[in-house]
Amino acid sequence: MILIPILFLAIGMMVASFLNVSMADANALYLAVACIAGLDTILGGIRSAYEKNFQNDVFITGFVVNILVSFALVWFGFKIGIELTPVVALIMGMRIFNNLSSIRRHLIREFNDWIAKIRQARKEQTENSESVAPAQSLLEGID
Amino acid sequence: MINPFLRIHNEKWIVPVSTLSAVLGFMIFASWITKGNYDKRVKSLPPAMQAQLEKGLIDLEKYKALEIEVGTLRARATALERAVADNSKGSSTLNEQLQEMKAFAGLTELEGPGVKVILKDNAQAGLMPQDGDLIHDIDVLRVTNELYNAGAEAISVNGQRLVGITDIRCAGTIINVNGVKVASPFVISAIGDPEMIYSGFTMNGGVMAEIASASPSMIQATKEKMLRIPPFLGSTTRKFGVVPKVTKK
Repeated sequence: MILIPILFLAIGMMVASFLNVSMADANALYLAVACIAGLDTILGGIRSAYEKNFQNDVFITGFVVNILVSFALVWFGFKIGIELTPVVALIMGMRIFNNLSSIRRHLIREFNDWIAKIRQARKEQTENSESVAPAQSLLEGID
Repeated sequence: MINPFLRIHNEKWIVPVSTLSAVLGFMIFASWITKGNYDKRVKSLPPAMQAQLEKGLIDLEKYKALEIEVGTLRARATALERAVADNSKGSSTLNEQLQEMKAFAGLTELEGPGVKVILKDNAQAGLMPQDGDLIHDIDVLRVTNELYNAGAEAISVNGQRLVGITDIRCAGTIINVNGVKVASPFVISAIGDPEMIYSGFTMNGGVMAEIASASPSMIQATKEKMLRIPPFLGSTTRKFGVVPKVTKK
């Protein structure tokens, strides 16, 4: 299920390649910053889904506002002559790592749970077969 | 088999996250730097960054050029060193002779004591100057000739070294020396014994007295302790003359 957003990421890239979209002017820098902000928000959404407190409105507004704020910061930096692009990239990069580590923990926990469940199931199965076998032989004996 | 990644019970996140993932993929592709949009992208950078980038590129190119130059020069140096090692004494004397000849021919800078002569047009001549109020090419020629006669070893006119093929000729309101235009005031530097040149040059009935007859301000001669004369900078190639291999006796 976590693979679905990744699949859609690839689909978006493919659509862009089919449309032959390529930014070649000053806006490209803003778009690059927006990419980092967007990636952070997507990962944040997946994380909140794992933490079971995902909210549609929070996620979508987060996506839009993060991108807009990073746009605005970079634009403002250019206006006052400070390079703020690395700042946005740094903060968003930190958040991406935080989100990723959180998702990783959840995935590991899920995986361990799954393994434990399989083991449990196998154990129960063997117990059942052991408990069933004598009964059957008993029945055969009766027959 | 159960997929471990399936166990998020709350499924409402999938649609928005997937949609925005697609948007993000689109954005990432659009901002990808390819060969096609790199140049245009550079042009849209702020001027400071652009300059920095260009500087970096140029520095690299310069570095490469210098590297090549260092290689060739090093090769040449080793070749010369080997030649010197083979015949150190002979080549050093040859080099000394070569330098002597170059200095004599006017191809090297020269410095030493001498006399400086300044020629300028008569400032008090008014609107209609007489012929004698102006400095002509013939005046410069005569002055330099007189200086050589007085013992000058090297002469320059306004920074133009006089050599064997030097021409001094009138070219309208200015004078050509070595094909280079020079204008009044003419500063003629002559290296040699200052006392001898000065006394020879300023003798009665000489060129100086003749030029100074119109106005004493037109010509000034001063003894200098140190003069510096530049080398001849014109072409030294010959097209027709060939040095004969066998000298006739």
